[in-house]
Amino acid sequence: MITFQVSKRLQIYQPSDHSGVLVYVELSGKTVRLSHDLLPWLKSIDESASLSKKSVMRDLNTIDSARFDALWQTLISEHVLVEVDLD
Amino acid sequence: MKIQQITWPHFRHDCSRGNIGVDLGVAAFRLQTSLPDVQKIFYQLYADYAVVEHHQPSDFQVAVSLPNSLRRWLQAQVSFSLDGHSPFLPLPRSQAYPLLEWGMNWCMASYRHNYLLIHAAVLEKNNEAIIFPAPPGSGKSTLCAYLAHSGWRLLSDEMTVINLDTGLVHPFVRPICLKNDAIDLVKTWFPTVVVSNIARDTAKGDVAHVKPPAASVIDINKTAKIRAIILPQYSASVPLDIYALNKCDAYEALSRNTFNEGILGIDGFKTLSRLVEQADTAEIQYNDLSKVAEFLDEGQFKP
Amino acid sequence: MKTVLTAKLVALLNGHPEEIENALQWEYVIRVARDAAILPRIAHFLLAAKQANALPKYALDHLLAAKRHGELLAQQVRFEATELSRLLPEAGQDDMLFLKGAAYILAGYKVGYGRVFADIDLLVTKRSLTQIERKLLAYGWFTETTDEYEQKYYRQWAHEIPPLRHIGRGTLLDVHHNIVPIISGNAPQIELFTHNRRRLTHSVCILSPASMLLHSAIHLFYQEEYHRGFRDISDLHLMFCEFADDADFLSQLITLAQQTHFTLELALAVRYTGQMFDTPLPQVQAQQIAGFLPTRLKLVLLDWMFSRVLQPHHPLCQVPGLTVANALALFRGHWIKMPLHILIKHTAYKTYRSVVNLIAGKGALVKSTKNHP
Repeated sequence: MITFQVSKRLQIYQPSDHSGVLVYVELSGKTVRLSHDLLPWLKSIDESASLSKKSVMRDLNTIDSARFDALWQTLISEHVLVEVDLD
Repeated sequence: MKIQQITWPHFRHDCSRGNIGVDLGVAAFRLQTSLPDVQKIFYQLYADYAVVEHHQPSDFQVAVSLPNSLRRWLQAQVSFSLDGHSPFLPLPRSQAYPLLEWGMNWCMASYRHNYLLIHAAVLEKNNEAIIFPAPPGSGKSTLCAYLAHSGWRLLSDEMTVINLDTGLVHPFVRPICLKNDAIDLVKTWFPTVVVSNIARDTAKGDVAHVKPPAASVIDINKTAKIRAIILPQYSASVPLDIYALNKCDAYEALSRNTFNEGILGIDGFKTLSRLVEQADTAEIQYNDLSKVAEFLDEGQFKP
Repeated sequence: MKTVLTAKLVALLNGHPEEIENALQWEYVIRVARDAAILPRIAHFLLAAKQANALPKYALDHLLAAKRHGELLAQQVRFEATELSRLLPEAGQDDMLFLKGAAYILAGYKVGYGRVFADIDLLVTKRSLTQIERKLLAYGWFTETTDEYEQKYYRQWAHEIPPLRHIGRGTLLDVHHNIVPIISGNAPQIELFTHNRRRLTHSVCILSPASMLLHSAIHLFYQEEYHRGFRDISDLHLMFCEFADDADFLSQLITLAQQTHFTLELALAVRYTGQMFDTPLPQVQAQQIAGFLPTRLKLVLLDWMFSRVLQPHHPLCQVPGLTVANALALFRGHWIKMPLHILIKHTAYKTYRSVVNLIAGKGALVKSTKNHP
């Protein structure tokens, strides 16, 4: 199973108008926009926790599977989640 | 001492030797050019600016000159350089003055990473500043020229400079760059403003520069708090329509227009976030500048 | 004989900002440092020091801005190393060995702080070179050089692939299978350099300190153009300072230089870092290395040339005789890398290009992807 961790030192901006969540990813130097309802999950992730696609899907059980697939693709391609280094 | 207090012959002499320094608040530029048209326009448009003395350091040492090739004469070209290096390919000789202005913008955007630099106009009234980020074609420059001569203090027409620590906007007052139809419009509305010669057939069409109001130049070191972020879009058929702009969209609009976000990394993210959080945000479509001015004067930006 | 500004730059690199005499001299020193590609490095060291608060605002502004430039490059290197880690093992390459600037940064060495560089250098095995090129081309990298002559130079003469640029990120990647262009037949045995590589992660390696320093020295003294000369000699100074604490380092370095027949380059590195920065080295080894220097006349010529080209080249800082020294260095650089008949062809072509640019204007031979304001 491929395991992931949350990218180190993520910075989160939660606009007061709840129009979304902006996440700064230090690894890529880019900012990613996610929807506001992901905020509780984002804030809850431990930097050292091992995650998998299944475990994240479980944590976000209120999201339908089509939306989850798109979200997962974003989280990986934007390096919000990174593969664990096989050291 | 101001530029206008230097006599014209003395100015020409010093400028050819690269001894004309001008204080733009957030940066000091030292200019070298022997080209008479560039000297003349600069002398006019920067008349009210403070001089940087010879013993004081300058941040950027810029030059506009003819290249050392046959292109000096055949289909003549002109080059911009910063401390001896030319970052762009040369332009036709007739575009020498705009090239200087664009080159100065480039210097800021490429090196002045003490600030967050946004491609946006910014003006202030009653100690509250409004930022107008806008890509070409939005009518931003015309709007800016109009407001600058209608009771608003000009901080910048092209480059909004934000302090990374305080979040305040610092003036970067420069001649206002007008394109195509806007040039005649502004001359009609404000017959007394000083406008440079028109450079034809540039990448942006016809281009001219307008001397900034003296009062704006005097206040070149006076910062301001940002009250609102307004996205302007010129529309031939709509006098004024105002739309809500949520904070994430406002963030993205600013980010798209930020020159140096990448290099500022997390500090850029934090500064932009703070800016968007503290300001009101809206989008407008317009063709009636007086209505826009009224709307801005009212200061009600929430739908 | 250093120029005034060279001496001031050395003082700044050694942590002495109080040596700058006035505000205008700060302007000059910053301009020279920027031109010499060491402003981010100076910024890093000065801003980390206790007296950072005492720096004048003019200097502080430029240093802070320059430091960010260095940090951006470091972030980009780390990101590329992560991305390439995933890509290249699949191409039959067991691990990637980063060289030069990228390596210094990934290793966290002092020589990497604020180190500016144009491209990421990667060493791979010769047999995997073609497959790696294919893999990179499939994943968003494209050949930067479209000029046919330059492509031929890279593939046929230097036995390398031309530099690759990433289409989205713009990063430049230089993939090597050897350390020095091997036209001259003086190719070093790669294994001598790489056999005790340092592993940073499961797929990222760098050379050992001795190999890293010697590689840097070879690179410096095999160049034709020295506009980065001052930066490169300061790299060597920082490496000596960081690595010489390790007792084995110097003996490994000397042994490696002897085995690979690059003792001259090592001797020049020690000689010129000493002259420029007073780099401290233990007496015994310093003397042993000095024994590798050439005979008097040759040394006098090399000293004359390098004492000039290794200083910053900015007009504010130029040593008398720099033009001649540069011409000598250009010739020497080509001479030691190429057989004579190829050197003549190469020089002729480069001259042709210069003449075309001179007459028809800069950019006449360039496909116009360069910036317009």
